[in-house]
Amino acid sequence: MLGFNSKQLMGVGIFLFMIFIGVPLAIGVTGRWDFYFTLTSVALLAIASAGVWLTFYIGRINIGQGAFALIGAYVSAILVVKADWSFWISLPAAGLFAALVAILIGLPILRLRGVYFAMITLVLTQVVTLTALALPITNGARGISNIPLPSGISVFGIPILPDFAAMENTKLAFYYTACIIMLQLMRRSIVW
Amino acid sequence: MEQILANGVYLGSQYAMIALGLTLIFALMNVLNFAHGQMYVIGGFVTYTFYGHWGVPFVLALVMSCVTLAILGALIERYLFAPVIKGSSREESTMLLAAGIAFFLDAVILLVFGEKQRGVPKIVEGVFNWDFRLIMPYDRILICLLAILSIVAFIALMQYTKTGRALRALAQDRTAAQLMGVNVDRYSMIGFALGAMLAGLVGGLLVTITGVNLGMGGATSIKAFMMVMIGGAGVISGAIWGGIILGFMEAIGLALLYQYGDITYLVIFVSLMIFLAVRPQGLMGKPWG
Repeated sequence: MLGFNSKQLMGVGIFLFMIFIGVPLAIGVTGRWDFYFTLTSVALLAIASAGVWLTFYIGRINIGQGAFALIGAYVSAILVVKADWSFWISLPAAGLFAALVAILIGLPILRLRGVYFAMITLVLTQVVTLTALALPITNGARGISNIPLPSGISVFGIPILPDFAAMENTKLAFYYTACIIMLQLMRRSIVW
Repeated sequence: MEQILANGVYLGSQYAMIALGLTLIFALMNVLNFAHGQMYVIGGFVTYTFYGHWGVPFVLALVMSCVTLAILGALIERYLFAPVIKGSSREESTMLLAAGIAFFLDAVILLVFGEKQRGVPKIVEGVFNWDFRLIMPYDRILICLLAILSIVAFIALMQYTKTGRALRALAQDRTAAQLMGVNVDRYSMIGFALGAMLAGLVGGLLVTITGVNLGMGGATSIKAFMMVMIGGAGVISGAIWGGIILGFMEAIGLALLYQYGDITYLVIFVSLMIFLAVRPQGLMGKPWG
């Protein structure tokens, strides 16, 4: 299967079991619900780091990944709050918008190399922060709060994604969402 | 207009000093010192502790800042950077190490000096006022002069002493310098200590005007990077030009753009990115491969 030996497959199996069943069980037993937040952050940061890893592969050191994370966060938040989009559509839209910005910024700055590229990406985080503070649509320093929870999606009456607001444990739902996205990303990068 | 120019000179002289230390370290060891801003903050806190807290004369407090940072820089180079440079062939490793040191120093500052904004009493009272066309407190003028004096002293050190010659040789070509009998390890350490000392010195100077707090480190590092990028990394004249240019841009920007809100830095950053797209090596830097 995909050229993996049984040992690797077992490792993957154990890993999947751990994050999808082991962690919720352990948290349920110990009652430390706050760990969901930590672990969700871990999964999300792993996704962001995969982007840094990818830039590494093209020979550039990107220390401005936070800039794109910020862009994505604002795009998603604005689409959900101001344009009433579903969270699940705003999520890829945020990614695509960040990619578009990266193309525009990348065209000039990919001429730089080594530490110069690293420095400009660091400057980029500042540019994006200041832009977010200066633009009216982002509410400046007040930011955007009261973002509604992701709503459910159903196709032809069959629910594909549940409504987060109707759940009693949204932390678990966010944890699973983050883990699934992370695993999907890892799978793509290994299989390619 | 006179006011804007005076502010530009004042800001530029400080910025040039911050950039000098960073560019020195970069030239010598090809290390991008992300912890430079944190070193600056430590310098400020040491001066605050000696001058503001214990009432030691200001000059002595400044000397203590320099000594502390020089020792700290020497230790960091000797026990952290030197082993990593020896063991790794990729420049990212030192960069990540420097970023790690920045976080570490932030934590150390928080533990030792606390999170409060600290200020010290004025070193000179009074305000220079030329017919309301140019208003400048005397302590700012003094700090500006001291900064220019330090820059001149630093350049003299680099140009006319044996240490300076060794450091310049090291910056030009490490291997050749070693073959000519320069003790590379020792001068790397001295160079790093000198760079850290400059950060401490400027931190000590500025604590009298802006005060010092924990969060200044990162912002200072970013400003220092910008100056180094404007002037060209690893070139001393470039760092000075970068500092002066950034100082004047800030002074002019704050004077002209204030009615549009807080966008001076945004404009500076964007113009820097455009500038770098046209001239990636900066004003004085050598183009590479």
